[in-house]
Amino acid sequence: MFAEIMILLTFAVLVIFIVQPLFATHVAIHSDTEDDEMQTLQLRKEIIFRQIKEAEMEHDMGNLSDEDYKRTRLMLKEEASLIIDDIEQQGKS
Amino acid sequence: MAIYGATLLNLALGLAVLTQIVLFIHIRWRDERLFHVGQRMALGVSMLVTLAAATLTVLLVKSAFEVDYVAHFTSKETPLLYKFAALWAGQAGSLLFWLLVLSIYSAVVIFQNQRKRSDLMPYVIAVLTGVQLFFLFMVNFSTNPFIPVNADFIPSDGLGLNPLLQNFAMALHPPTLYLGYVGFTVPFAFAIAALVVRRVDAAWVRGIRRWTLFAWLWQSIGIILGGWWAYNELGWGGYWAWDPVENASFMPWLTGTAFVHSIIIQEKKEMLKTWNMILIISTFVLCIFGTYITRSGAVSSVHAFTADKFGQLFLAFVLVIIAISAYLVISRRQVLKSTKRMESMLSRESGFLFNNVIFVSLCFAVLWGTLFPLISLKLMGREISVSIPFYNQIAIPIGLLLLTLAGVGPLLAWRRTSKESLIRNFSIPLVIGLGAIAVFFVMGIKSIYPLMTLGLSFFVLGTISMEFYRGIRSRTKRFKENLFTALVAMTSRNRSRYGGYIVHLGIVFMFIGFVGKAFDSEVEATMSRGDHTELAGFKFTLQEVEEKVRPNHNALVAELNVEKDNKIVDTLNPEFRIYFPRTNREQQHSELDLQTGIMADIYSVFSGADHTRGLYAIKIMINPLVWWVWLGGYFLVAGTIIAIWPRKKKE
Repeated sequence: MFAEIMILLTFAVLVIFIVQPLFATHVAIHSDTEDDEMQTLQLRKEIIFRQIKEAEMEHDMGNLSDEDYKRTRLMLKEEASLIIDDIEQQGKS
Repeated sequence: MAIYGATLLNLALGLAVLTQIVLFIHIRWRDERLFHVGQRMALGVSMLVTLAAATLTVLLVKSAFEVDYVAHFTSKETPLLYKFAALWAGQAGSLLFWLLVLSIYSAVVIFQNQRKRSDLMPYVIAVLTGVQLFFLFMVNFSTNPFIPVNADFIPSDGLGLNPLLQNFAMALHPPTLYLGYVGFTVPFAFAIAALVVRRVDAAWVRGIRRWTLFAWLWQSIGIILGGWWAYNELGWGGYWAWDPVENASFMPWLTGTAFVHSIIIQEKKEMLKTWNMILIISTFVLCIFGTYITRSGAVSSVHAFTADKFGQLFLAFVLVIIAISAYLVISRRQVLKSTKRMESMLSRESGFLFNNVIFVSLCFAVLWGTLFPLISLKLMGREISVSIPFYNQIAIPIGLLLLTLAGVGPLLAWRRTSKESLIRNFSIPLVIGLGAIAVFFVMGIKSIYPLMTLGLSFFVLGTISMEFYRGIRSRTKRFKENLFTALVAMTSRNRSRYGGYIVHLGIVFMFIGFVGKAFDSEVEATMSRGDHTELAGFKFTLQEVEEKVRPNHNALVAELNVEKDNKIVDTLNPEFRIYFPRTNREQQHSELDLQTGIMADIYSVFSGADHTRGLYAIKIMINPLVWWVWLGGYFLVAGTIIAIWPRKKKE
C-alpha cells in the first residue's frame, strides 16, 4: 500500500510541475538568434582582446621577441577592428 | 519499496519518450510554452532516476534480500560503506548509477542555460534525454536492478560483495570513472546541437570548455584510483596491465585529452572545427564503447560481466551514434571549413596539432590491441590476445614524443616563432635535459628508454620552471610585487595557462615514476617463523604469524621485520585472508602491506599458507619510484582544478 501511495504522490507532483508552463500567464521568451549572433561577436572580441593581453605578457616575460610581438599584435588588432565593425553593423540593423 | 523503484524507472522511460516528442513539436512549431514543458519533462526524468537510485540504495543498506540485486552483492556482514558501493558493483546497479550521474548532469546543464544558448538548448536537451532513454530502456528491459529473487522464499543472507572490491579506492574508482565517462555526454550534446543548427563558432566551444575539463578531471582521477587500487590490492606490484577494461577507460581519456588541447585552437584561431567535432564524438563513442566492453564481457577481462543480449544492444547504440554523428559532420562540412590556415610549423597551433595526432595514434593502437582478440576470432577462428609487450612497444616511444611536446608546445608562439625566440626559450631547458642524461648515465642507467625519459622529464621541468620564473620576474618588475604575491596573481589571472603547466608537471612526475618499472626486483620464498630472505640489500625476517577472526573474514597476519645494515627499519604486516570461512563460498585473498618511499616501495604479499605445518609463502618486491606516479596524480588534479576554477566577472 505504501508503495502505491508513493507512486501516486510522485506522479501527481511530477504532472503539476510539468504542465505548469501551459497555464502560466507569462512565459519567458528565449532570446532570439540575433541576440545570439551579437553574443558570439562579443565573445570573439573578448577572445581577441585577451590574446592581445597574453601577447603583451609573453613579450614582458621575454618569451616573444620584439619582432614576433609586433607582428602578433598588429594581426590581432586588425582582427579586432573587423569584429568591432561587425558589432557596429549589427547594432545599427 | 522494490515496486516503487521499478515503477519510477517505468515512469522515467515514458517521460523521456514524451520529452523527445514535445521538444520535436517545439522545434517544428516554435511554441515557447512547449520548450518550457520539455525542459521540465527532462528535469522530471532526472528526478525520477534520482529517486530510483535512492530507492535501490535504501534497499541495499536495509539488506532487502527479496531483491535479487541486493542478495547478489551484499550480505549481513558487508560493512555499510560497501553496501553503498554495491550500487555500482553489479551490471544493473552500475547502469542505474550511469543514469543517475547523467541525470544530475542534465539537470545542471538545464539550470545553467535557462537564459543562454537559446538556439542550442532544445537540441542539447533532446540529445541528453536521448542518451538517458537508451539507458532507461536497458534498466527497464535488459538488466532491471529491482527484480525479485528467483525463488519462493526470501534468502536469510546475501552472497556479499567480492572481497577484492572491499577496498576504499575500489569503492571510489567506479564512481569517479563514471563521473568522467558520463561527463563527456555534455560536450557531445552541445556538439550535436551546434552541428544541427549550423553554429560551430567559438561560442559552443566556450560553453563546453569547463564541462570538458570537469569530465576529463574525473576520468583522470578514476584511472589513477584504478591504478592505485590495483597496486595496493591485487598484489602483483604494478598499477597498469593493459587489461581491456583499463584500455576502455584510457581510450576516451586519450581522445578527450586531445580535445582539451585542440579546442583552445578553435577558440583562439577558429581552426580545426571538423577535427574538434570528430574528437568529441569519438570521445563520447569510446565512453559508451568502454561501458560496453566493461559490462558485456565481449573481450575477456578481470573486470567484465557475463555476455548476453545486453552487449548487442550497446553495440547497436554505438552504431546509431556513429551513423547520426557522421551524417551531421558530412552534411555540415561547409560550415565546418576553417577560413584560416597554419602559418608555420614552428607555431603553438602546429604543436597542438602534433600533440593531437599523437594522442589519436596512441588511441588507435590501444583500440587495435583491445579488439584484436575479437578480430582474430572472426578472421582466424581463434582468439589471440595481445599482451603487455605489444602495448609497451608502441606506448613508450609515443609517450616520449608526447612528453617532448609537453615541454616544447608552451614555449612556441602563436602563428609563428622566430629563431631568436626559439634560441632564447629552449637553450636553458635543453642544457638541463642533456645534463640530466649525462648525470644519470654516470650513475649507471644505461638503458635507452629510462635515460631518454629522465632526460626529457628534466627538459620539461626546465621549460615549466622557466615559464614560472619569467612570469614572476615580469610581475615583480612591473607591479613591484613580492615573489609569493606575483606567483598567486599570475596564476589566478591566467588559470588555464598555469593550471595547464601544473598538470604538465604532474605528467612529468608520472613519467619519472614509470621509469622505476624498469628497475623492479622481487623474491618469493616459503618461510617458517624465524626464517629470513634478502633482496636489494634488505633482510626480511618472518617474526610471527598471528591468527585473527574478524566480522566478515578470518586472517593470518604476518609480522615481517625489514632490516638494513643490521637495523630494523620497518615491520610489514601482509595478511592471508579467508572470506566467508567454513561455507561453500570460502574465498582466499592476500592483503598486501608496503612501505612507501620517495626512491622505492618495499612491497610484501602473503600469497599462501599451510598453517598446520607452519609454512608460509611470502613475496617481496622492491618497486622504485612508484611514489612519483601518485605525486603526479595530485599535481594533475590540482592543476585541472586551477584551470577549471571560474573567473570573477570583473576580471
